[in-house]
Amino acid sequence: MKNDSIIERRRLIYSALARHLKHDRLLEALWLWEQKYALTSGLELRKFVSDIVLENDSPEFKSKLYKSLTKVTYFPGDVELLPDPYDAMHQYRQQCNGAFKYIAPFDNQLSKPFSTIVFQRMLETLLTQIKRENSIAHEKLRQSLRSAILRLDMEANLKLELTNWLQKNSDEMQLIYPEKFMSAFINEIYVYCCNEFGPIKSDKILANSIEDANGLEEARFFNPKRLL
Amino acid sequence: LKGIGNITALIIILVFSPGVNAQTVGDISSNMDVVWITVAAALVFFMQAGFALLEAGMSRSKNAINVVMKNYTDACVGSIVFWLFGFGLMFGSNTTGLYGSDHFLPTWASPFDNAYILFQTMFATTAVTIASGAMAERTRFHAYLIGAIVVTGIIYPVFGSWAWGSYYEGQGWLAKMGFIDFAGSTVVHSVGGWIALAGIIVLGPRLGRFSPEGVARIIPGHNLTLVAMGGFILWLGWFGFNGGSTVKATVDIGLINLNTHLSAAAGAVGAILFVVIRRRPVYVSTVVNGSIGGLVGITAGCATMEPLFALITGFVSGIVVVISARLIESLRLDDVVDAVAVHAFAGMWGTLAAGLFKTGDLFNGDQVLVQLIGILSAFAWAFPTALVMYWVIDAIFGLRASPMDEQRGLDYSEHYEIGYPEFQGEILHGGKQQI
Repeated sequence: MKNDSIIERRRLIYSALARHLKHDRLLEALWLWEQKYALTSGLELRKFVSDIVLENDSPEFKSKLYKSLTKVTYFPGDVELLPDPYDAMHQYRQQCNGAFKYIAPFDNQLSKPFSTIVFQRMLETLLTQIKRENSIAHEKLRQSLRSAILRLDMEANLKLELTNWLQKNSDEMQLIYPEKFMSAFINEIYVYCCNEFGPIKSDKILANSIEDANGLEEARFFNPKRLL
Repeated sequence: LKGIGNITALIIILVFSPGVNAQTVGDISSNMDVVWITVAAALVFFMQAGFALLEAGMSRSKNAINVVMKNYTDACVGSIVFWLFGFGLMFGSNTTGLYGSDHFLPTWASPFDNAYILFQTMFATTAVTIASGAMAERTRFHAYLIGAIVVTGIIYPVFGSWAWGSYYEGQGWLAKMGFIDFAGSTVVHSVGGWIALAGIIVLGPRLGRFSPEGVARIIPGHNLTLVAMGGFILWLGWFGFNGGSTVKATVDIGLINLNTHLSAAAGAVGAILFVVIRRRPVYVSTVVNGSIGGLVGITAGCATMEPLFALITGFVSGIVVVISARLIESLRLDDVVDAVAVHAFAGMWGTLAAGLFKTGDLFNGDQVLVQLIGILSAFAWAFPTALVMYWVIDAIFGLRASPMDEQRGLDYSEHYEIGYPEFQGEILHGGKQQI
């Protein structure tokens, strides 16, 4: 599956599983995929299938899921794509308030992707350190980042959420951001820091943000260094 | 020891026994020449290790592998290109005075010629590697190597043909004028330094090297022990660089290498005294660069001046290095190892000093004028051509690494390697597939 768009990949996974899983279970599986597997390689399909099958599911059923996912992974052109289930996923998550029924080990973590949690923590630590160094530079950075977001090539809803987060610095990020984008955004901050404080201090600021994010439970599933 | 004694006895018997004729003595002398030039070439080659250590030590740890790779590979690529093309352009028959026109791909040469080609190849690789340190920490590897090919294939040999050509027939226009540059203060070092200057202009400074107000920020190297070791190795190699330029195993080598050593020592002392008088801290890099400045400075006149003048040349070279490094910085140019100050500026001064302090012809105005013409022509040729070369490379291939690559370090982004895995951790990028 070469397509980089998260929407396209979500549609492929959705299309592959829709024939086999019922509505609620399907949406929970999609949440799991987004937070844990969306940014990893295709070779983790087997793990994904193991995560979504239940104790009473037969081995044949597991095999069917795996075959179906393999097909969309390696022959995406042969699959008739269903529409993006994004709205349905959000609606479902709000309805059940994050307490999922089928995928028990992840009940409390499915509210948002690990990568987003790590990304947000890194941003918070970076901005806090910059504010501590120089509050004027911090405010200038926020303005500069807002214009940087407009320049970056990514989906509109992601841009909107990130801009809102920067403006308020209170709401939590919910969406899944492509890794490439998260790295580019952190690099924007690094370049800004280099100009303001010099490369040595900037390297320290970046290292501190990694160390801080490493303290998160989610860092076990998404290593913060991937965003450097 | 017994073996060496036997060889010595054999040489004495061959030279002094009544049956030995002049032909045999001549053969031994020629053999000694070849042996000396080959050993000197090996010493000059060892300077590559000195450059690699010095430049890697002055760079941040995340770029150390990239620096070493550039040094290693420009020596490889440069050697091949110079043998294929550069040698003929520099030392081939030079009827116009502007370039050599034969002896490309020199094959089936005499034993002495082979040694000479080897020795000159080492000089070419020295000239090309000077730019790598100046351009460290933000240059893309492949783009740099393309530049190295052009430098060893065209820029360096053309100027070399003016000052040192030809080895076969005709003479370069500067050589005809009586330009003194015994081992290459200008031909090798200033030319390399001007190429480095062009490179850092096209590249621009490293991220954050200067504040938005233009104030320079120090970016310390990651290992100053490597810097000092690099300095020692370069110093050692220089005995081959200058001593070997006799291209004969003669008694002159003693004076040449004494001058070389005194100038290097005086260069370090000159740099130290200058910064102490200005009440600035004495950095290791300043001392090492001062001594290398002394070496560069004496390279032109090491065979034609007395030791006292070699000492003065070196002392002034050390001061020139400190002042010109400050000048380069004030122009917001980012030279990681001060290569332009050490090689271009100290090379200029050394070439001038060779004219000023020529034994038996001190302070001869005509000679000084010729030296100035040589200095200016080196700049007028090497700087603009290198500037155009790097602009073209930048436009076609991209010379400057991206900000993301600078953040991650060129070790990872250019070579997918990490120089210090114990500290920098694992590689997490690249090779990832999206499902």
